[in-house]
Amino acid sequence: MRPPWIGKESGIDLAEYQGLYCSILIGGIMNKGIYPALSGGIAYEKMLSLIANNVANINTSGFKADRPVFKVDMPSSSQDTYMGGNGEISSNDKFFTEIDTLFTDFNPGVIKQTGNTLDMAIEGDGYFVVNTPEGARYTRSGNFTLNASNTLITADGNMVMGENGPIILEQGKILIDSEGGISVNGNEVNRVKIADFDKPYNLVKDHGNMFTGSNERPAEGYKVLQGAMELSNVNPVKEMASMIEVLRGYESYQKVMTTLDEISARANEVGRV
Amino acid sequence: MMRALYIAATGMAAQQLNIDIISNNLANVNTAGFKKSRGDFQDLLYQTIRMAGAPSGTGTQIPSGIQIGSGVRPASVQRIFTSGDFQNTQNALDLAVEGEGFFQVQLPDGTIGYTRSGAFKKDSSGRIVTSDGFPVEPSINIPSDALNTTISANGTISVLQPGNPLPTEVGTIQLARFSNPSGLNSIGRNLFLPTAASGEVIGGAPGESGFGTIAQGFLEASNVNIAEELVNMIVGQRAYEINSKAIQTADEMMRTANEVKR
Repeated sequence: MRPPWIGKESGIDLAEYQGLYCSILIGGIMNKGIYPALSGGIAYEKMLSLIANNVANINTSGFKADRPVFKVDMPSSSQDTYMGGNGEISSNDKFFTEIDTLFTDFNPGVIKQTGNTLDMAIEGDGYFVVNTPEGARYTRSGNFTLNASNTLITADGNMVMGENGPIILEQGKILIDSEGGISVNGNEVNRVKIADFDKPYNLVKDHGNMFTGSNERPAEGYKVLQGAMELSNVNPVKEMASMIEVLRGYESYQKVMTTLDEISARANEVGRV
Repeated sequence: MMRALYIAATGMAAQQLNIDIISNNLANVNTAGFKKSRGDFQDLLYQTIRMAGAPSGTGTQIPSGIQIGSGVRPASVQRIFTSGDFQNTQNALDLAVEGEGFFQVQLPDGTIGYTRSGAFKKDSSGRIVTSDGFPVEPSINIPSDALNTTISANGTISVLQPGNPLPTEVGTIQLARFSNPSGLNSIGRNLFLPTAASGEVIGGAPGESGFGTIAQGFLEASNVNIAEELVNMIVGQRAYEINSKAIQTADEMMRTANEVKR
Protein backbone atom coordinates (compact mmCIF):
# COMPACT_ATOMS: atom_id res chain seq x y z
CA MET A 1 0.00 0.00 0.00
CA ARG A 2 1.27 3.37 -0.97
CA PRO A 3 1.27 5.99 1.77
CA PRO A 4 -0.91 8.96 0.92
CA TRP A 5 2.01 11.38 0.96
CA ILE A 6 3.70 9.74 -2.03
CA GLY A 7 2.96 11.45 -5.29
CA LYS A 8 3.98 14.18 -7.71
CA GLU A 9 2.81 16.88 -5.29
CA SER A 10 5.01 15.77 -2.40
CA GLY A 11 8.14 15.46 -4.58
CA ILE A 12 8.72 11.86 -3.45
CA ASP A 13 7.91 9.38 -6.19
CA LEU A 14 7.25 5.73 -5.87
CA ALA A 15 10.69 4.58 -7.01
CA GLU A 16 12.32 6.75 -4.41
CA TYR A 17 10.01 5.40 -1.76
CA GLN A 18 10.80 1.83 -2.72
CA GLY A 19 14.51 2.53 -2.67
CA LEU A 20 14.19 4.03 0.75
CA TYR A 21 12.25 1.03 1.90
CA CYS A 22 14.81 -1.39 0.48
CA SER A 23 17.66 0.44 2.10
CA ILE A 24 15.90 0.30 5.43
CA LEU A 25 15.28 -3.38 4.89
CA ILE A 26 18.85 -4.16 3.89
CA GLY A 27 20.07 -1.93 6.66
CA GLY A 28 18.18 -4.22 8.97
CA ILE A 29 19.95 -7.24 7.57
CA MET A 30 23.28 -5.48 7.91
CA ASN A 31 22.64 -4.82 11.57
CA LYS A 32 21.96 -8.47 12.06
CA GLY A 33 25.18 -9.56 10.40
CA ILE A 34 27.79 -7.04 11.37
CA TYR A 35 27.67 -7.51 15.13
CA PRO A 36 28.05 -11.29 15.10
CA ALA A 37 31.00 -10.83 12.71
CA LEU A 38 32.44 -8.24 15.07
CA SER A 39 32.03 -10.59 18.04
CA GLY A 40 34.00 -13.21 16.14
CA GLY A 41 36.76 -10.72 15.45
CA ILE A 42 36.95 -9.69 19.11
CA ALA A 43 37.09 -13.33 20.20
CA TYR A 44 40.02 -13.87 17.85
CA GLU A 45 41.78 -10.80 19.29
CA LYS A 46 41.47 -12.32 22.75
CA MET A 47 42.73 -15.61 21.42
CA LEU A 48 45.80 -13.85 20.03
CA SER A 49 46.46 -12.41 23.51
CA LEU A 50 46.47 -15.94 24.85
CA ILE A 51 48.82 -17.14 22.13
CA ALA A 52 51.07 -14.14 22.76
CA ASN A 53 51.18 -14.99 26.47
CA ASN A 54 52.01 -18.61 25.63
CA VAL A 55 54.85 -17.69 23.31
CA ALA A 56 56.12 -14.99 25.69
CA ASN A 57 56.49 -17.80 28.23
CA ILE A 58 58.01 -20.32 25.85
CA ASN A 59 61.21 -20.25 27.96
CA THR A 60 59.57 -19.99 31.39
CA SER A 61 60.21 -23.09 33.44
CA GLY A 62 57.10 -24.86 34.69
CA PHE A 63 54.77 -22.71 32.57
CA LYS A 64 51.55 -24.31 31.33
CA ALA A 65 49.94 -23.17 28.09
CA ASP A 66 46.38 -21.83 27.95
CA ARG A 67 43.89 -22.61 25.23
CA PRO A 68 40.53 -20.98 24.58
CA VAL A 69 37.18 -22.71 24.24
CA PHE A 70 34.87 -20.82 21.93
CA LYS A 71 31.13 -20.79 22.27
CA VAL A 72 28.31 -19.50 20.15
CA ASP A 73 25.76 -17.43 21.96
CA MET A 74 22.30 -16.77 20.71
CA PRO A 75 20.81 -14.18 23.06
CA SER A 76 17.05 -14.70 23.32
CA SER A 77 16.42 -11.17 22.05
CA SER A 78 17.94 -12.13 18.71
CA GLN A 79 15.71 -15.14 18.20
CA ASP A 80 13.29 -13.51 15.84
CA THR A 81 11.43 -16.48 14.53
CA TYR A 82 11.43 -20.19 14.81
CA MET A 83 10.46 -22.22 11.82
CA GLY A 84 8.24 -25.06 12.88
CA GLY A 85 8.05 -26.50 16.32
CA ASN A 86 11.19 -28.59 16.24
CA GLY A 87 13.57 -25.79 17.13
CA GLU A 88 14.84 -25.06 13.63
CA ILE A 89 16.11 -21.56 13.53
CA SER A 90 15.39 -19.06 10.83
CA SER A 91 18.24 -17.44 8.98
CA ASN A 92 17.52 -14.11 10.57
CA ASP A 93 19.02 -15.17 13.88
CA LYS A 94 22.18 -13.66 15.24
CA PHE A 95 24.95 -15.79 16.58
CA PHE A 96 27.62 -14.28 18.71
CA THR A 97 31.02 -15.91 19.11
CA GLU A 98 32.91 -15.48 22.32
CA ILE A 99 35.53 -17.22 24.40
CA ASP A 100 33.63 -19.35 26.88
CA THR A 101 36.42 -20.58 29.11
CA LEU A 102 40.06 -21.34 28.97
CA PHE A 103 41.61 -24.58 29.72
CA THR A 104 45.15 -24.87 30.86
CA ASP A 105 47.16 -27.63 29.30
CA PHE A 106 48.61 -29.41 32.35
CA ASN A 107 50.72 -31.79 30.30
CA PRO A 108 54.29 -31.90 31.57
CA GLY A 109 56.98 -29.88 29.85
CA VAL A 110 60.27 -31.37 28.76
CA ILE A 111 62.66 -32.04 31.66
CA LYS A 112 66.09 -30.54 31.13
CA GLN A 113 69.21 -31.56 33.02
CA THR A 114 70.91 -28.54 34.53
CA GLY A 115 73.31 -30.14 36.99
CA ASN A 116 72.52 -27.39 39.48
CA THR A 117 72.18 -28.92 42.96
CA LEU A 118 69.05 -27.06 43.96
CA ASP A 119 67.11 -27.45 40.71
CA MET A 120 64.29 -29.93 41.03
CA ALA A 121 61.74 -31.33 38.63
CA ILE A 122 58.72 -33.51 39.29
CA GLU A 123 58.20 -36.50 37.06
CA GLY A 124 54.53 -37.41 37.25
CA ASP A 125 51.69 -35.48 38.86
CA GLY A 126 52.18 -33.04 41.70
CA TYR A 127 53.27 -29.54 42.60
CA PHE A 128 55.86 -27.94 44.85
CA VAL A 129 54.21 -25.99 47.65
CA VAL A 130 55.39 -22.39 48.04
CA ASN A 131 54.57 -20.24 51.03
CA THR A 132 53.77 -16.72 49.79
CA PRO A 133 52.49 -13.73 51.79
CA GLU A 134 49.08 -14.44 50.20
CA GLY A 135 49.06 -18.08 51.28
CA ALA A 136 50.07 -21.39 49.77
CA ARG A 137 50.80 -21.48 46.06
CA TYR A 138 51.68 -24.43 43.85
CA THR A 139 54.30 -24.58 41.16
CA ARG A 140 55.98 -26.99 38.78
CA SER A 141 58.97 -24.70 38.42
CA GLY A 142 61.77 -26.08 40.56
CA ASN A 143 64.61 -23.62 40.08
CA PHE A 144 65.23 -22.98 43.75
CA THR A 145 68.02 -21.28 45.61
CA LEU A 146 68.98 -20.53 49.20
CA ASN A 147 68.60 -17.30 51.10
CA ALA A 148 71.00 -15.85 53.65
CA SER A 149 69.49 -18.00 56.42
CA ASN A 150 70.00 -21.21 54.40
CA THR A 151 66.30 -21.64 53.64
CA LEU A 152 65.22 -23.04 50.28
CA ILE A 153 63.38 -20.32 48.33
CA THR A 154 62.00 -19.69 44.85
CA ALA A 155 63.41 -17.04 42.51
CA ASP A 156 60.87 -14.64 44.09
CA GLY A 157 62.18 -15.27 47.59
CA ASN A 158 59.16 -17.27 48.76
CA MET A 159 59.86 -20.29 50.95
CA VAL A 160 59.54 -23.77 49.49
CA MET A 161 57.68 -26.00 51.93
CA GLY A 162 58.82 -29.39 53.13
CA GLU A 163 56.86 -32.01 55.04
CA ASN A 164 58.31 -30.50 58.24
CA GLY A 165 58.00 -26.82 57.40
CA PRO A 166 60.54 -24.64 55.59
CA ILE A 167 63.54 -26.48 54.23
CA ILE A 168 66.74 -25.38 55.93
CA LEU A 169 69.92 -26.70 54.39
CA GLU A 170 73.25 -26.35 56.14
CA GLN A 171 76.46 -26.40 54.17
CA GLY A 172 77.41 -29.75 52.85
CA LYS A 173 76.67 -32.28 50.17
CA ILE A 174 72.98 -31.96 49.33
CA LEU A 175 71.30 -35.03 47.90
CA ILE A 176 67.64 -35.25 46.97
CA ASP A 177 66.18 -38.72 46.44
CA SER A 178 63.38 -39.62 44.08
CA GLU A 179 60.77 -39.30 46.84
CA GLY A 180 61.91 -35.77 47.65
CA GLY A 181 63.90 -36.66 50.78
CA ILE A 182 66.69 -34.13 51.23
CA SER A 183 69.86 -35.18 52.97
CA VAL A 184 72.83 -33.00 53.84
CA ASN A 185 76.08 -34.95 54.31
CA GLY A 186 74.04 -38.16 54.53
CA ASN A 187 71.58 -37.01 57.23
CA GLU A 188 68.01 -36.62 56.07
CA VAL A 189 66.86 -33.14 57.10
CA ASN A 190 63.47 -32.74 55.45
CA ARG A 191 61.34 -33.94 52.59
CA VAL A 192 60.07 -31.72 49.79
CA LYS A 193 56.30 -31.44 50.05
CA ILE A 194 54.60 -32.44 46.82
CA ALA A 195 50.89 -31.72 46.70
CA ASP A 196 48.38 -32.87 44.13
CA PHE A 197 44.73 -32.22 43.42
CA ASP A 198 41.75 -34.08 42.10
CA LYS A 199 41.44 -34.07 38.35
CA PRO A 200 40.40 -32.25 36.30
CA TYR A 201 42.61 -29.67 37.91
CA ASN A 202 40.74 -26.70 39.26
CA LEU A 203 43.86 -24.57 39.56
CA VAL A 204 43.88 -20.85 38.86
CA LYS A 205 47.02 -19.23 37.54
CA ASP A 206 48.76 -16.70 39.68
CA HIS A 207 51.76 -14.76 38.45
CA GLY A 208 55.27 -16.07 39.01
CA ASN A 209 54.72 -19.60 37.60
CA MET A 210 52.37 -20.32 40.49
CA PHE A 211 48.85 -21.66 40.79
CA THR A 212 46.29 -21.28 43.52
CA GLY A 213 44.21 -24.28 44.39
CA SER A 214 42.14 -25.78 47.12
CA ASN A 215 41.76 -29.24 48.66
CA GLU A 216 45.37 -30.24 48.23
CA ARG A 217 46.30 -33.81 49.03
CA PRO A 218 49.66 -35.58 49.09
CA ALA A 219 50.77 -36.53 45.61
CA GLU A 220 51.27 -40.15 44.66
CA GLY A 221 53.46 -41.92 42.17
CA TYR A 222 55.74 -38.97 41.50
CA LYS A 223 59.50 -38.86 41.22
CA VAL A 224 61.62 -35.87 42.20
CA LEU A 225 64.66 -35.34 40.01
CA GLN A 226 67.58 -33.36 41.36
CA GLY A 227 69.61 -31.18 39.00
CA ALA A 228 66.80 -30.99 36.46
CA MET A 229 64.19 -28.43 35.53
CA GLU A 230 60.81 -28.70 33.84
CA LEU A 231 60.62 -26.42 30.81
CA SER A 232 57.53 -24.66 29.49
CA ASN A 233 55.02 -26.96 27.78
CA VAL A 234 54.28 -24.41 25.05
CA ASN A 235 54.58 -26.04 21.66
CA PRO A 236 55.84 -23.50 19.11
CA VAL A 237 54.37 -25.37 16.12
CA LYS A 238 50.92 -25.44 17.70
CA GLU A 239 51.16 -21.75 18.54
CA MET A 240 52.26 -20.85 15.00
CA ALA A 241 49.34 -22.83 13.57
CA SER A 242 46.96 -21.08 16.01
CA MET A 243 48.36 -17.70 14.97
CA ILE A 244 47.64 -18.50 11.32
CA GLU A 245 44.15 -19.64 12.27
CA VAL A 246 43.55 -16.40 14.18
CA LEU A 247 44.83 -14.21 11.39
CA ARG A 248 42.84 -15.92 8.63
CA GLY A 249 39.73 -16.21 10.77
CA TYR A 250 39.94 -12.55 11.64
CA GLU A 251 40.34 -11.76 7.94
CA SER A 252 37.22 -13.70 7.02
CA TYR A 253 35.20 -11.84 9.63
CA GLN A 254 36.57 -8.63 8.15
CA LYS A 255 35.43 -9.83 4.69
CA VAL A 256 31.95 -10.44 6.08
CA MET A 257 31.88 -6.93 7.53
CA THR A 258 33.15 -5.37 4.30
CA THR A 259 30.58 -7.29 2.27
CA LEU A 260 27.75 -6.19 4.57
CA ASP A 261 29.07 -2.66 4.38
CA GLU A 262 29.05 -2.85 0.56
CA ILE A 263 25.49 -4.15 0.56
CA SER A 264 24.29 -1.24 2.63
CA ALA A 265 26.31 1.19 0.51
CA ARG A 266 24.53 -0.17 -2.59
CA ALA A 267 21.22 0.09 -0.80
CA ASN A 268 21.94 3.70 0.01
CA GLU A 269 22.70 4.34 -3.67
CA VAL A 270 19.36 2.86 -4.81
CA GLY A 271 17.40 5.79 -3.53
CA ARG A 272 19.57 8.24 -5.43
CA VAL A 273 18.95 6.89 -8.96
CA MET B 1 45.04 -1.50 21.08
CA MET B 2 45.72 -5.16 20.98
CA ARG B 3 47.03 -6.71 24.18
CA ALA B 4 48.93 -9.27 22.13
CA LEU B 5 51.38 -6.62 20.93
CA TYR B 6 52.51 -5.77 24.44
CA ILE B 7 52.46 -9.35 25.65
CA ALA B 8 54.67 -10.50 22.80
CA ALA B 9 56.93 -7.49 23.39
CA THR B 10 57.59 -8.70 26.96
CA GLY B 11 58.49 -12.06 25.43
CA MET B 12 60.95 -10.45 23.04
CA ALA B 13 62.51 -8.38 25.83
CA ALA B 14 62.90 -11.50 28.00
CA GLN B 15 64.55 -13.45 25.19
CA GLN B 16 66.85 -10.53 24.49
CA LEU B 17 67.97 -10.63 28.11
CA ASN B 18 68.38 -14.38 27.81
CA ILE B 19 70.68 -13.94 24.79
CA ASP B 20 72.60 -11.20 26.66
CA ILE B 21 73.23 -13.62 29.53
CA ILE B 22 74.26 -16.41 27.15
CA SER B 23 76.63 -14.03 25.32
CA ASN B 24 78.30 -13.05 28.58
CA ASN B 25 78.71 -16.73 29.45
CA LEU B 26 80.24 -17.46 26.06
CA ALA B 27 82.50 -14.41 26.22
CA ASN B 28 83.91 -15.80 29.48
CA VAL B 29 84.33 -19.36 28.32
CA ASN B 30 88.09 -19.04 28.85
CA THR B 31 88.02 -16.92 32.01
CA ALA B 32 89.54 -18.80 34.93
CA GLY B 33 87.19 -18.99 37.91
CA PHE B 34 84.22 -17.63 35.95
CA LYS B 35 80.78 -18.87 37.00
CA LYS B 36 78.01 -18.95 34.44
CA SER B 37 74.64 -17.26 34.90
CA ARG B 38 71.19 -18.37 33.97
CA GLY B 39 68.09 -16.28 33.41
CA ASP B 40 65.00 -17.50 35.23
CA PHE B 41 61.69 -16.24 33.89
CA GLN B 42 58.20 -16.02 35.33
CA ASP B 43 54.76 -15.32 33.93
CA LEU B 44 53.30 -11.89 34.68
CA LEU B 45 49.99 -10.99 36.31
CA TYR B 46 46.80 -12.44 34.91
CA GLN B 47 43.77 -10.39 33.99
CA THR B 48 40.66 -12.23 35.07
CA ILE B 49 37.80 -11.79 32.64
CA ARG B 50 35.64 -14.58 34.02
CA MET B 51 36.28 -15.91 37.47
CA ALA B 52 36.37 -19.67 37.90
CA GLY B 53 34.08 -20.85 40.68
CA ALA B 54 31.70 -17.91 40.34
CA PRO B 55 28.05 -18.89 40.20
CA SER B 56 26.76 -19.09 36.63
CA GLY B 57 23.15 -19.73 37.59
CA THR B 58 21.18 -21.32 40.37
CA GLY B 59 23.36 -24.01 41.86
CA THR B 60 25.86 -24.04 39.03
CA GLN B 61 29.38 -22.75 38.87
CA ILE B 62 31.74 -21.67 36.15
CA PRO B 63 34.20 -24.59 36.10
CA SER B 64 37.13 -22.66 34.69
CA GLY B 65 37.28 -18.99 33.99
CA ILE B 66 39.08 -16.80 31.52
CA GLN B 67 42.39 -15.39 32.60
CA ILE B 68 44.57 -13.65 30.10
CA GLY B 69 48.21 -13.40 31.06
CA SER B 70 50.21 -10.31 30.40
CA GLY B 71 53.49 -11.86 29.36
CA VAL B 72 56.75 -12.73 30.99
CA ARG B 73 59.32 -11.09 33.22
CA PRO B 74 62.83 -12.01 34.21
CA ALA B 75 62.69 -13.26 37.82
CA SER B 76 66.36 -13.63 38.49
CA VAL B 77 69.71 -14.04 36.85
CA GLN B 78 71.10 -16.83 38.90
CA ARG B 79 74.80 -17.51 39.04
CA ILE B 80 75.52 -21.20 38.97
CA PHE B 81 78.41 -22.09 41.27
CA THR B 82 79.16 -25.55 39.96
CA SER B 83 82.82 -26.35 39.79
CA GLY B 84 84.72 -25.75 36.56
CA ASP B 85 87.24 -28.18 35.12
CA PHE B 86 90.76 -28.10 36.57
CA GLN B 87 93.55 -27.26 34.20
CA ASN B 88 97.08 -28.27 34.96
CA THR B 89 99.33 -25.25 34.37
CA GLN B 90 102.52 -26.32 36.25
CA ASN B 91 102.79 -22.72 37.44
CA ALA B 92 103.73 -22.58 41.15
CA LEU B 93 101.36 -19.71 41.94
CA ASP B 94 98.32 -21.02 40.06
CA LEU B 95 95.93 -22.30 42.68
CA ALA B 96 92.55 -23.96 42.49
CA VAL B 97 90.08 -24.72 45.28
CA GLU B 98 88.87 -28.29 45.06
CA GLY B 99 85.49 -27.95 46.74
CA GLU B 100 83.85 -24.97 48.38
CA GLY B 101 85.55 -21.71 49.19
CA PHE B 102 86.68 -18.43 47.70
CA PHE B 103 90.10 -16.81 47.81
CA GLN B 104 90.08 -13.48 49.64
CA VAL B 105 91.57 -10.44 47.96
CA GLN B 106 92.07 -6.96 49.36
CA LEU B 107 90.69 -4.32 47.00
CA PRO B 108 92.29 -0.86 46.71
CA ASP B 109 89.52 0.67 48.86
CA GLY B 110 90.25 -1.75 51.67
CA THR B 111 87.22 -4.01 51.27
CA ILE B 112 87.66 -7.72 50.78
CA GLY B 113 86.63 -9.24 47.49
CA TYR B 114 86.15 -12.96 46.88
CA THR B 115 87.25 -14.92 43.83
CA ARG B 116 87.51 -18.46 42.54
CA SER B 117 90.24 -17.46 40.13
CA GLY B 118 93.59 -18.51 41.57
CA ALA B 119 95.93 -17.17 38.88
CA PHE B 120 98.22 -15.39 41.36
CA LYS B 121 101.51 -13.61 40.76
CA LYS B 122 104.24 -11.96 42.79
CA ASP B 123 104.59 -8.21 42.80
CA SER B 124 107.90 -6.31 43.14
CA SER B 125 107.92 -6.70 46.92
CA GLY B 126 107.18 -10.42 46.78
CA ARG B 127 103.54 -10.21 47.85
CA ILE B 128 101.12 -12.70 46.30
CA VAL B 129 98.69 -10.65 44.17
CA THR B 130 96.00 -11.20 41.55
CA SER B 131 96.49 -10.27 37.90
CA ASP B 132 95.18 -6.82 38.81
CA GLY B 133 97.78 -6.43 41.56
CA PHE B 134 95.30 -6.79 44.44
CA PRO B 135 97.03 -8.58 47.34
CA VAL B 136 95.71 -11.84 48.71
CA GLU B 137 94.24 -11.48 52.20
CA PRO B 138 95.91 -12.23 54.64
CA SER B 139 98.94 -10.81 52.88
CA ILE B 140 101.70 -13.33 52.11
CA ASN B 141 105.25 -12.33 51.20
CA ILE B 142 107.56 -14.65 49.38
CA PRO B 143 111.22 -13.81 50.11
CA SER B 144 113.13 -12.63 47.06
CA ASP B 145 115.74 -15.37 47.46
CA ALA B 146 113.17 -18.18 47.48
CA LEU B 147 114.20 -21.02 45.22
CA ASN B 148 111.05 -23.04 45.30
CA THR B 149 107.53 -22.33 46.53
CA THR B 150 105.34 -25.18 47.70
CA ILE B 151 101.68 -24.80 48.63
CA SER B 152 100.14 -27.70 50.47
CA ALA B 153 96.55 -28.94 50.19
CA ASN B 154 95.68 -27.14 53.44
CA GLY B 155 97.06 -23.84 52.13
CA THR B 156 100.42 -23.67 53.88
CA ILE B 157 103.02 -21.90 51.76
CA SER B 158 106.62 -22.90 52.32
CA VAL B 159 109.75 -21.83 50.47
CA LEU B 160 113.22 -23.24 50.12
CA GLN B 161 115.97 -20.71 50.67
CA PRO B 162 119.66 -21.00 49.80
CA GLY B 163 121.76 -22.42 52.61
CA ASN B 164 118.79 -23.96 54.38
CA PRO B 165 117.91 -27.55 53.52
CA LEU B 166 114.59 -27.32 55.34
CA PRO B 167 111.59 -25.44 53.90
CA THR B 168 110.46 -22.28 55.72
CA GLU B 169 106.77 -21.57 56.22
CA VAL B 170 105.83 -18.05 55.01
CA GLY B 171 102.04 -18.01 55.36
CA THR B 172 98.71 -19.77 54.87
CA ILE B 173 96.01 -19.22 52.29
CA GLN B 174 92.66 -18.52 53.96
CA LEU B 175 89.34 -19.25 52.30
CA ALA B 176 85.82 -17.91 52.74
CA ARG B 177 82.44 -19.33 51.97
CA PHE B 178 78.83 -18.15 51.97
CA SER B 179 75.59 -19.91 52.67
CA ASN B 180 74.12 -18.60 49.42
CA PRO B 181 76.86 -17.93 46.86
CA SER B 182 74.19 -17.17 44.22
CA GLY B 183 73.40 -14.03 46.22
CA LEU B 184 76.90 -12.61 45.80
CA ASN B 185 77.34 -9.39 43.91
CA SER B 186 79.61 -9.69 40.87
CA ILE B 187 81.82 -6.66 40.39
CA GLY B 188 83.79 -7.89 37.39
CA ARG B 189 87.48 -8.95 37.36
CA ASN B 190 86.28 -12.37 38.60
CA LEU B 191 85.49 -10.78 41.95
CA PHE B 192 82.42 -11.06 44.14
CA LEU B 193 81.27 -8.99 47.09
CA PRO B 194 78.96 -10.21 49.85
CA THR B 195 75.38 -8.94 50.05
CA ALA B 196 72.52 -9.38 52.50
CA ALA B 197 71.29 -12.28 50.36
CA SER B 198 74.59 -14.13 50.31
CA GLY B 199 74.81 -14.31 54.08
CA GLU B 200 77.73 -13.59 56.37
CA VAL B 201 81.26 -14.52 55.39
CA ILE B 202 82.38 -17.78 56.95
CA GLY B 203 86.17 -17.85 57.09
CA GLY B 204 88.37 -20.92 57.42
CA ALA B 205 91.46 -22.74 56.31
CA PRO B 206 91.48 -25.08 53.31
CA GLY B 207 90.57 -28.61 54.26
CA GLU B 208 88.58 -27.58 57.31
CA SER B 209 85.00 -28.78 57.52
CA GLY B 210 83.02 -27.45 54.59
CA PHE B 211 86.04 -26.02 52.79
CA GLY B 212 87.81 -27.44 49.78
CA THR B 213 91.53 -28.07 49.53
CA ILE B 214 94.13 -26.17 47.51
CA ALA B 215 95.64 -27.66 44.38
CA GLN B 216 98.93 -26.04 43.39
CA GLY B 217 99.75 -25.73 39.69
CA PHE B 218 96.09 -25.92 38.71
CA LEU B 219 93.55 -23.33 37.60
CA GLU B 220 89.81 -23.68 37.77
CA ALA B 221 88.49 -23.13 34.25
CA SER B 222 85.20 -21.40 33.57
CA ASN B 223 82.18 -23.63 34.22
CA VAL B 224 80.58 -22.55 30.94
CA ASN B 225 79.74 -25.45 28.66
CA ILE B 226 79.85 -24.24 25.06
CA ALA B 227 77.48 -26.87 23.69
CA GLU B 228 74.90 -26.10 26.35
CA GLU B 229 75.15 -22.35 25.76
CA LEU B 230 74.80 -22.80 22.01
CA VAL B 231 71.69 -24.92 22.50
CA ASN B 232 70.29 -22.24 24.83
CA MET B 233 71.13 -19.64 22.22
CA ILE B 234 69.18 -21.51 19.54
CA VAL B 235 66.21 -21.86 21.91
CA GLY B 236 66.42 -18.17 22.82
CA GLN B 237 66.63 -17.05 19.21
CA ARG B 238 63.68 -19.18 18.13
CA ALA B 239 61.65 -17.98 21.10
CA TYR B 240 62.46 -14.40 20.10
CA GLU B 241 61.37 -15.21 16.56
CA ILE B 242 58.02 -16.72 17.53
CA ASN B 243 57.28 -13.69 19.73
CA SER B 244 57.98 -11.46 16.76
CA LYS B 245 55.50 -13.58 14.77
CA ALA B 246 52.86 -12.86 17.40
CA ILE B 247 53.56 -9.15 16.95
CA GLN B 248 53.33 -9.56 13.18
CA THR B 249 50.00 -11.35 13.51
CA ALA B 250 48.65 -8.59 15.75
CA ASP B 251 49.91 -6.01 13.27
CA GLU B 252 48.27 -7.74 10.32
CA MET B 253 45.02 -8.06 12.26
CA MET B 254 45.05 -4.35 12.96
CA ARG B 255 45.67 -3.66 9.28
CA THR B 256 42.73 -5.94 8.47
CA ALA B 257 40.60 -4.06 10.98
CA ASN B 258 41.57 -0.77 9.40
CA GLU B 259 40.47 -2.08 6.02
CA VAL B 260 36.91 -2.65 7.22
CA LYS B 261 36.15 1.02 6.72
CA ARG B 262 37.23 2.35 3.34
